[in-house]
Amino acid sequence: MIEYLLFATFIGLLFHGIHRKVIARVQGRPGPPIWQEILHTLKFSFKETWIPKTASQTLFVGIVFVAIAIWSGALFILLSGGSILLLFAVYLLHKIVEHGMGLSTGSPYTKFGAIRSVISAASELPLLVTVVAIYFFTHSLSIADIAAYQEVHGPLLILAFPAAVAMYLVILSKMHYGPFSIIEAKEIVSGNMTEHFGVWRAALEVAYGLKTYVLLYAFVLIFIGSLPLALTLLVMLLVLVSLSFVCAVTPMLSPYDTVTIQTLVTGALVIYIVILGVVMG
Amino acid sequence: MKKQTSLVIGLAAGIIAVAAGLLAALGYLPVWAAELVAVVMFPAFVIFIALWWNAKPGEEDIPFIGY
Repeated sequence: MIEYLLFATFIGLLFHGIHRKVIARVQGRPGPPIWQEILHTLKFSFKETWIPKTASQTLFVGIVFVAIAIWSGALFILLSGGSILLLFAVYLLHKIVEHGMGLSTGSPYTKFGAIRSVISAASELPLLVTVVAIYFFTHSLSIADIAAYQEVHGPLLILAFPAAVAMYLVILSKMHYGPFSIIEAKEIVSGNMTEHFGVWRAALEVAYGLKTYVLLYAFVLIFIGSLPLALTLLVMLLVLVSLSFVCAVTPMLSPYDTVTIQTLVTGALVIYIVILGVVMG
Repeated sequence: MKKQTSLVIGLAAGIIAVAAGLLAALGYLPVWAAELVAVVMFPAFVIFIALWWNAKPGEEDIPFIGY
């Protein structure tokens, strides 16, 4: 079991490196090598590690364990074809991790990051609406059933394109250097992660690598279907590169604009679901 | 916590996770139980092994609490 987690972490970190490389190339810079984020994680693990005096020690350390554990659990939910609602629950737990991390340190910068994390809770709304839209087609929320449905009827990417766009936006909102990355904006240093350095940051990089792998894998499973591993990784890479292009050409939005856009997308999806309900009975 | 303690906890977590996976593969443990063990042990494995190789050789506690 642990081999799946190590593999997903490695690929997730490699994807982070590719993400940075693509952004740099689009912006006309050479960019770091694609294995930079793997080196970054190792580098952090050798840096001096301590717990700030102002921190809540239990929360400061515990939140790092939780961050890795929830995305490990999410990977197994996907591999076992579990419920998409459990995946949604993990996504909500990640929100608790984000602001728990910010609030645990006592630093004003991390608290700003935590507050922005609460503000950007609107990013969960498109995911919720995506779940409802998928249920209209598949009459099941099991990932195994959704994959089986697509083998018969074709990819949901085509059948439920607006839902795929909403899920894409959800993944975009969790990408580094993206238009919705307000919780780690440079004007608040590194946001909610500012005080987590050394081993803590290395462990968080592991958690975020897993998160990226899980979200991209979930997108492929839910909207394209179950594919051989090599093909799955290739499609995940293509989705990632498209996300990197969006991140490269879009400036970071203000906190209020992120909420506005995510709420508008949710509104559009609600209209789509109402139409689906009328058409499909 | 001492450097040696970190290594022991990290290795124990890794060994338990691998053992659970093997037991599940051999049919002695339900797969969901092995997955649960991996979910709990993997963070401990990552963090304690990193704390071990991060710590300087000596008797001081890791991680340092202060500043």
